[in-house]
Amino acid sequence: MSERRQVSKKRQSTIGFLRQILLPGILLSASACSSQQNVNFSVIQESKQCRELSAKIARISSVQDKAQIIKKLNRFSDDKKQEHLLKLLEQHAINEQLFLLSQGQKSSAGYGFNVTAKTGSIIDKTLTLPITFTYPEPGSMQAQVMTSPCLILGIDSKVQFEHIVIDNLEFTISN
Amino acid sequence: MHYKTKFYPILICVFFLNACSSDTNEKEETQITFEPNTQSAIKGTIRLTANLATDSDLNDINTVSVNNSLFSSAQEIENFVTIQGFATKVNTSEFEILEGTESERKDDRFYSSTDEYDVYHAQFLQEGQTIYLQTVNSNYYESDDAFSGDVDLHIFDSNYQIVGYSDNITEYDSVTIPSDGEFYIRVRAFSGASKYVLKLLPSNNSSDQSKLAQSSSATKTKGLDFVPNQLIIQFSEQNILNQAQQQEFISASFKHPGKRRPTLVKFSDTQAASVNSSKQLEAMSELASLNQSSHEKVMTLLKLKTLQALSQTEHVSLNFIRKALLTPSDTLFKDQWHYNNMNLTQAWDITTGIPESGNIIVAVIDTGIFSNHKDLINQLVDGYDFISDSLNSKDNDSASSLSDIDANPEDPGDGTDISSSSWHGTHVAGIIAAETNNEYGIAGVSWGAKIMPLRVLGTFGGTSYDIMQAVRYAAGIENDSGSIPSQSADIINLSLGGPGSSPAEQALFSEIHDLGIIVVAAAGNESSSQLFYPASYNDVISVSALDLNSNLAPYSNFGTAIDIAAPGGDLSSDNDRNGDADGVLSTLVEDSNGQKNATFAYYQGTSMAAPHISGMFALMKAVYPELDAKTVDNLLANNLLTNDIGSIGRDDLYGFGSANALKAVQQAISLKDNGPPPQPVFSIKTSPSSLSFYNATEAVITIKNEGTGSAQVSSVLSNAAWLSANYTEGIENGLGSYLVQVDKSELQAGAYNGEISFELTSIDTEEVISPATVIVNLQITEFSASSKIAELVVVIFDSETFEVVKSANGSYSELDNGTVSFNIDGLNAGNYFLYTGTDIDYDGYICQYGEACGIYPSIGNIKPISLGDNSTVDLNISAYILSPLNTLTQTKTKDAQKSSYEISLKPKTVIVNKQGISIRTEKNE
Repeated sequence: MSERRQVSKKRQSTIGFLRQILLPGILLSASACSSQQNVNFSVIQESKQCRELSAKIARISSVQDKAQIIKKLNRFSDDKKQEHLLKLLEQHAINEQLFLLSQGQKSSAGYGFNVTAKTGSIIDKTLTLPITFTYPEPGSMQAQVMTSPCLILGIDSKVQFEHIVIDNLEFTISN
Repeated sequence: MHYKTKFYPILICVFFLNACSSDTNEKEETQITFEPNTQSAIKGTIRLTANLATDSDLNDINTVSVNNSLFSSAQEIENFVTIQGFATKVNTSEFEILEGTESERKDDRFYSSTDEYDVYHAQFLQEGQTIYLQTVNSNYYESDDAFSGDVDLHIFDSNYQIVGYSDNITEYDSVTIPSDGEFYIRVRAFSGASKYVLKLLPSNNSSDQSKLAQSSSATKTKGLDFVPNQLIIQFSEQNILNQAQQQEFISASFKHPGKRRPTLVKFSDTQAASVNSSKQLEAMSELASLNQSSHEKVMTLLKLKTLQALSQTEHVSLNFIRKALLTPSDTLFKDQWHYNNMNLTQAWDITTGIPESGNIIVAVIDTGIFSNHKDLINQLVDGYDFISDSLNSKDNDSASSLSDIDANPEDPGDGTDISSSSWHGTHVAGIIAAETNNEYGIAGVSWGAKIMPLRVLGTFGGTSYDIMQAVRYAAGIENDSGSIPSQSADIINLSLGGPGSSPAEQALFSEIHDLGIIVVAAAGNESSSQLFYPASYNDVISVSALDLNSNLAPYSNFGTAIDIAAPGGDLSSDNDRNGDADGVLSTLVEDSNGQKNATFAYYQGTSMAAPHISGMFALMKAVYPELDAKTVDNLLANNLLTNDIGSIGRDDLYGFGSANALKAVQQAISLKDNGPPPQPVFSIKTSPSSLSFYNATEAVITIKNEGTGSAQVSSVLSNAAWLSANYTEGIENGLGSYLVQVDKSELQAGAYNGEISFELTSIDTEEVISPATVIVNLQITEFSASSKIAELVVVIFDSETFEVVKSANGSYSELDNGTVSFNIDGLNAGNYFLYTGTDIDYDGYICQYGEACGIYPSIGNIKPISLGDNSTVDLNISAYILSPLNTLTQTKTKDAQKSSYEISLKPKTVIVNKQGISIRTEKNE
């Protein structure tokens, strides 16, 4: 079952989800004349409830950005959880640039991310991260709670890039 | 005044409005004569739809005005009438003239005066009748109308006591008549000026219109059990009142002024409203002299609405007189708005769900449970983990190498990383039966139910097979665990699902149903009408989700399988303005530090709606342990567990309605006390389900059976000598069409109620089925006040150029049996369109919403009139008051607020909207 599932997930990841610009061809041509650089990144926080309606990558830089993200991620009735996340973000912000990767609002608990490695690669201002979106198994039963999965990512602050590619989708970074 | 567009300088036409009183047959004739240049003419008759009346003091100066602003001068109206009216809080000189019209504002009747109140008096109103008010020129919406305002609706009994009110700031208001009798209906202009449509619907009206109040922005009759001359006010941060407002409050008593918490403000009734006209003072003084208590309440309501509009106030509310209700001590109960929405606190006054003996068990088939949660630890019975795939289960705690199922339902998380799990089963369980009144956390719907946690959803969701095993276990029948619980579940909650269905699952749920176990499932979150399983199986109760305002949540599925609706939350809004999104609050796990800690969180979904229903059934079972699935079906089908929102009876959005826990436990009490069991589920429908006769004397109704049982009509009975029904044609077993006739010959003036009853029996069991009844309302009148109609204007357009060829208007007329005749001659041969309508606000446009309108041959089917040389065309035209109250067939709010509709007319398009009639040619677009 697990092997079939992996195949199934890969198939879905190549056909679904708000495809913006398919990159394989672009990357192939770019790699012929550009050098590739490895980039370390970290997953600071993962959540199923980020209250983001649409898929996007957004930079978290200002104090207001952090406060807004914390407010969105705070599904709890306890303010102490907010303090914990704020400290976490501030620690990572010392050496990393922070991003929110959101999958948008989803109809069940069957959506999320699969982070396969902690190192990405950059070519010509385009950073590719080894992250795929996960979807409900066809025919599976899912918990009927509305979700909005997201990751808060920390990426080496020395690296400069303009686009991020995740699961063959290119995102232009919004501020 | 010119209508629509530029008119030709001097109109050449003759227009007759034959006016005659139906009592005297004495005709008055108003004739406007012009010199004809040809002999061609269009003449005919305009017939106003039945039960149409007009406010006796309009802004249209061409109409005769009779003051109706006081109770003593109330305008008599008939029941079931639709009224076009106009009210203004201010002088109309404050409004600009619409561009394109040549009206003179100074000619307005209310140019330098106001018309704040219109009072109507109606006899023979009936309990349950709904009075609707449409503020046609509502200032809630931006528009280019000539006028803009807010009009409210107040109902007074024969002692002038206010018995119902609706003070919405939006377009619609409605009030339900509380008892049979005579009532005064007062329309009040709260601000600005507006046309309005007032409609008195019969009780038990079958049309979708009767649900407008619930489906639109209108509200139901509000409680009047409040302390007069008092309001509870939360001032805004700065709490800055201007000088006038300070003056208003200067002698008012503040409990704790200036503090950042709600304060009680007391005032005298004379302080309640600033009087800005002698008419207003006269109306207030009159009510005070007739009924001081009613006057004080009306003034308090006026004060309430005035202060709510101020920026200096955050919240203003009445000081309601409350009865004691059982409120649990749980610290977060205040944030569980979703319980009040289903009358749960009132239900807790009857039972908190603690049974006299034994346990009421709800199986939660889900992601498992965080059993150490303080609000759940004492609420659990033994469960099981039925996830058979170890990769999906992730707990690796089975002794078997073939299957990962085991007796530990603990939820290890369904996410792939820290903080990525949903802890869904824990949230669902908390809604049903969190430990309550323990001064901690949240309250559960049932304080006494126990949760049987059965784990079926893992990292990749769940499979039908695993879920079937969990259902079998919960029901105490053979399953893959090789064991059964010591006590099987009474209720099974399935806050899960998917699109696929299987005969095996359907057979299992039917088997479970036959065992008496109640199965509740989430309808799904796809915002779709596609069938979703297991909720859509027969014998499973499918639950759609409501938001805080009891509207269908934006994500909720709907469709033919929906049985009931319950709060599911909407995290995109904060309608109660408490600073938290309007989700459903329940127990959860916080694991950001790698450890599982108890917490609480807001979720939204039909997953959250289903456990509200499961908990409600658990409350019922605590009172009446014999409650079984079949009884629940019958209770639901008879609307005994719900508020029937949406279309009458079952509909595809809310099923049989929104859950009402108070009604549910009252039904359980009744059953426990050997009250009558709910009727078998035969869905007998008559179309229409009620009839109203005014001029007509016969109508056809159809009866059919949409239920699962086989039924036959055994007899047809009438409870009134004047009423009869006879079979005309049918399907079989007496089902089909019947001709209903009324005989007015022996009746005096008044309103009459009758019923046609279709006696029914089950073909299978020969048991008598609850009869289907058709309510018949008959109105006979002798007075003619409401048969008056404002000045009618007839406009003739060239069908090619859309230029106005001729228009004509006559003086105010009384109708002859609901008709007005006209004769326009001096026309050239050609093709013409004909419109007729009123201009009650005198803004230069006819046929706006709130005004009577007729178009040849009908509004929905415009055709040109072909006129030859020296010929005359004789027409019959129907006219009625334009209003969504007349035209709506949909129940959704967005349709109720529809502001215009288009009438296709190739190659042109005619638009009738709030601005009046406009005509566009395609080439100009």
